[in-house]
Amino acid sequence: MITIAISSQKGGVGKTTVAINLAHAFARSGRRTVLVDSDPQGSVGLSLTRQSRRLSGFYDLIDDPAVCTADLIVPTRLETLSLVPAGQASVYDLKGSAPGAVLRRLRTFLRDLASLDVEICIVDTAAGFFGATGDVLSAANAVMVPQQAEPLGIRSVPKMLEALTRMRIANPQLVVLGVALTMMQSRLPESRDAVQALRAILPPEMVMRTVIPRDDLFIKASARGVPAGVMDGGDPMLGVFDNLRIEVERRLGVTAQF
Amino acid sequence: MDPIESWVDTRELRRMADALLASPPDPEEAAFGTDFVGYEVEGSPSSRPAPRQPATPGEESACSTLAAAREFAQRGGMLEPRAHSPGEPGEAAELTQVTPVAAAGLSPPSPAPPPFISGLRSFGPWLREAVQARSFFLLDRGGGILIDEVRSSKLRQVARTLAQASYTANRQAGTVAVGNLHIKVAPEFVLEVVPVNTRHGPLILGIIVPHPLNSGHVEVVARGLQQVVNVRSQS
Repeated sequence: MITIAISSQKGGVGKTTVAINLAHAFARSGRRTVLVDSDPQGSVGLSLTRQSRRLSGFYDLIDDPAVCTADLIVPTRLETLSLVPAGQASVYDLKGSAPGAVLRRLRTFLRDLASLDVEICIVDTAAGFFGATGDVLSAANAVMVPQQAEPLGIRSVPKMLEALTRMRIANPQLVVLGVALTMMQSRLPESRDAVQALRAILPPEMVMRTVIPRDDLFIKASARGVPAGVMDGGDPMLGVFDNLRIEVERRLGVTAQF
Repeated sequence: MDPIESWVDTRELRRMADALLASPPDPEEAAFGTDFVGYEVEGSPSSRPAPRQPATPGEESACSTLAAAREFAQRGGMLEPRAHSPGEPGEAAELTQVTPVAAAGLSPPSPAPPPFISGLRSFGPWLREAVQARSFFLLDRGGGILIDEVRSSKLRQVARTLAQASYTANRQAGTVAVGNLHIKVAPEFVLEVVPVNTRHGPLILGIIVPHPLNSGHVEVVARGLQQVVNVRSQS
């Protein structure tokens, strides 16, 4: 199983959108995929299921090691795609636990998923690289960093790289897939210029070729609780995230079999 | 239009990106991971006692400032009251061997050591009292060794990397310490890395402790170091 964290320093850059639609793309390609919501706000659940506020999930397992991983998995209409919501436990603070207890439980959770023949685990994380997100990055195989295709978003890239450098100390095997530019407005020169400027500075391997456009379809899809590609007129988005999936597979060096 | 180049250090950005894209280190060289158990063989904290020397005026001054820091922490409930103060007789056996760079000749000829070095001799015992530190090292921001009881180049390197990454990210924190990080380096030990801004410039404190420090203890440690360095830097 390959675990890919979708993380960023800032909020509102499109992490959940990327996580949902990338997981959908992997599942459509035939991979058994689980989308995990490690954001205490429960963004994935709030986007995809009305029951998310009642379901047990990721934080319940972190809080109580007796919780069974298999019991947290929520199936979807797509047989190869399942969810693990954020859950009900609200406090990511194991006072009194031995150092490393949370990370151990997280690793156990991921091993459990792998034993259930999950091939791809996409983890949507909260903004920032500390706390729960730090632990996810310590256990993940790879990280993708969504960033808005806007000057303000691009200017925060240095802090993001510094944080990732720090995370690599704790997880030297972490593969940095790169920056996934989101909310691109092709008709806005400032947005296009921001993309070009970033590509000019960073090595090509650090910036995904696929750019996610700003599109009302994402909001409409969230209102209906489905990935954007499922919506009427969603075929172009299916193509965008299929391309992103293919890029990820290429960067991870994976072939038909993981 | 220039959306980024005039806002960031593009060379540094490129350097960080290249480093992140580099192949993961050889597992034997990798610092951490699921099987990492630390640098016990190379970097075992020394337990050899150092001979107790008469306190210099600098040390006496450092002792008093540290005592003030401890009192502050105790009043604030961040530290338990203690029965005795650092520097008192009886603590000599707990001192590890201190190897200031100049005394040990560990570095190439360099300018005279900073004036607060003598005060750091009291800082170690104070750390042991305050947070049960086993040993510690102090680096300047460039990685130069100011004092090193741990004697592990790998741990110093790790601390420096973490601190440099943390400094910029936490620049706006507005606290004495600009963010601490801890990493398990052995089954019984944690390396606590505390970057501290001082009048001598940013310093990187690495402490070997049995458990990660909470934010209150980090604040106390950082203030203690700051007081030692700043008092001596003024003289």
